[in-house]
Amino acid sequence: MMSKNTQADRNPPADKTAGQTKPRGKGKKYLVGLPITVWLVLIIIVPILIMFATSFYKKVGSNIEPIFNFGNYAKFFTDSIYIPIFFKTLLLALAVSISSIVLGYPLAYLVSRKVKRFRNQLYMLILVPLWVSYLVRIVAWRAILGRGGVLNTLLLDLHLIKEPISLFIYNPFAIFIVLTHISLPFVFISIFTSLEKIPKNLINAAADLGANGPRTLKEIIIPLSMPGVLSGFTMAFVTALGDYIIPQQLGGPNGLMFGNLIVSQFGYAYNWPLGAALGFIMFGIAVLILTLSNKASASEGYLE
Amino acid sequence: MSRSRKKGLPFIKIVAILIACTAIASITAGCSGGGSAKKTLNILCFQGYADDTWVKPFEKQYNCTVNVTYAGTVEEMYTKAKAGGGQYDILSTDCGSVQRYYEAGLIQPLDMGQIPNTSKLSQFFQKNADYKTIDGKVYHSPIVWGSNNVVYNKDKLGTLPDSWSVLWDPKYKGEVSVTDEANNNVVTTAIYLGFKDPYNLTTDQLNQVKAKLIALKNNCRELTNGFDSEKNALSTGETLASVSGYDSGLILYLKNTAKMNVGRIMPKEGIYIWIDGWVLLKGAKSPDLAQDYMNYILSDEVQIDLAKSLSFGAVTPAAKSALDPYVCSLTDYDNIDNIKVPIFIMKNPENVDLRTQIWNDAKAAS
Repeated sequence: MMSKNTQADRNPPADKTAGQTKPRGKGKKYLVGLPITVWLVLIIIVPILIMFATSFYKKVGSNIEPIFNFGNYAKFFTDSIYIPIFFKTLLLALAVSISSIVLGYPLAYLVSRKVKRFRNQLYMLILVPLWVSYLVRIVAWRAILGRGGVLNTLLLDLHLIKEPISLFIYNPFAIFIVLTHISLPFVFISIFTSLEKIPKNLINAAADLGANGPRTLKEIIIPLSMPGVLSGFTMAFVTALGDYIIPQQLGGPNGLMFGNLIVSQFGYAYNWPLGAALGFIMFGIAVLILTLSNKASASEGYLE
Repeated sequence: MSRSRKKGLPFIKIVAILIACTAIASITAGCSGGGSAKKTLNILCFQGYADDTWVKPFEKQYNCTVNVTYAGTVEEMYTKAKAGGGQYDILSTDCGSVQRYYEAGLIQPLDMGQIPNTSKLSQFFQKNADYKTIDGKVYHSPIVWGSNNVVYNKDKLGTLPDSWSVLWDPKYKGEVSVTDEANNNVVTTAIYLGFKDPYNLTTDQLNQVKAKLIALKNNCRELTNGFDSEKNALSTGETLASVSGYDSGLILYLKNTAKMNVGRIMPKEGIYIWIDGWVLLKGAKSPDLAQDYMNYILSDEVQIDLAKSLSFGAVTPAAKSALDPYVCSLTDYDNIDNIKVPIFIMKNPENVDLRTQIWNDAKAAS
């Protein structure tokens, strides 16, 4: 409630700057949008439509025939493997996004609000993992979590264990750790950005009205940073939902996720229609989550 | 901003345009200049099967130009061939995919009269032509062969028995790995169970295989995907015995680079082998030259070059000297005729989708 009132007061200055950058003619405006539209259609819309069409095709012998049917989608519901693995994957994605937020929020808060010196350096340091290729990070985690890895060597040297522990890697736990590590910078960025957007005068006002630190955090900062939390959550969730490389590389014999089931229909199996249908089901879920989180963040508060 | 741009092109742009013009000019000149007399052979293959070492002499000998396009995966190969439309003359494929290329109407039969070097092949490859013959016609001319097999750490395990059973042995629980490939795992399990035709299994046999696959998975430390991951598993001690489709490469790496004492089983139930070879595409523009190249690959010199560069099994006995003696002592890659156990050549199975599903089910089971 309180946040809505205060925002109304802040709106006029924001409008001024928006008026200045308004394009002059309407025709020109469309022309500007043309390249990006063409790009969007060619690179994103058309491939998705092709995939959508393929999901209704049928594999006959070694060939894919354009015979319209719903069999591929029906398989998702009738075959006992898909739904349990799908929920397992959803659960993993949920765990990954929650843990990234639990880790990412305090980090973003610290860098945004508490650190004065080396603030930019710290910000960059958190983003450094993004410069390293995704595959290299997987290999690095293997070197950390493996039997002869850094973690085991350390524990052995400290005499905390007598024999290397095999439980760090090649199981769903390893997938969880590494996906969290991959998602963390994205979650950090979106929370950090939303924290930066909170005007100083709101916090000053809270202090003037007698709110202490925790109260300000609870009443002002957390509610106003929710859009960032939500978009970070979405980012982490969608990343974890679709990933199949990490389960394949670090998941071990029990690390099968839904992405792996999709991939297994390509390559040697050459069942693109089934793969496309499974892919589309996942795509649908991802779109649904994006829409919900967009709606949620839109109703949460508007700072611009 | 916009006004200054109209005045004239910046210097860098002019230079770029000039470079582009000369490049286009030289490309078109090259085409019209040399094209009339020389024939062209267009090859689509995996890296290593059209190396300059033997392609250059071939170009000289047959007065032709060879263009090589590489594909990284089986999938990419197939898609390129499908989209090709006469763009390629030949491509390299494992023998298991011949049926698929045939059913897709992509390949044409070979004229064996044009590949006389076929008589140089080891006896086994001459006698067993089923895998490459469809309706009495031959569609595949071999390059190299190899096996999917268990490579192991001899320092830690000693000498293992020559049986697939090591993969299921509870003694090695969490110490072994297999590749994450549905068909390969179904085939090796079927061989282990003693089924006569591991490529044509009954429903009952497939159910037995599935039960064994679940046990296999639960005995595994990880499921590998590709040579690097197998190399990593064994050399870091993550596993002590791993199945690999490139066992010779793995043996050499572990022995020479990781300085390990390494072994490989010769499974008494039967060995599972693949043969990579050439197929002739429909619409090939130079079918004669293409088959000359297939013939040339089987010559002693090229077999030696291939053995030197790839260390796969040689399809003719000529390359013995070029192969590592230790690898040969474990694998008989110098001559397949020396193998005493049953040999199962990779073939198109009865139902690829079913096998994919069985392996997925096994992986999902706990």
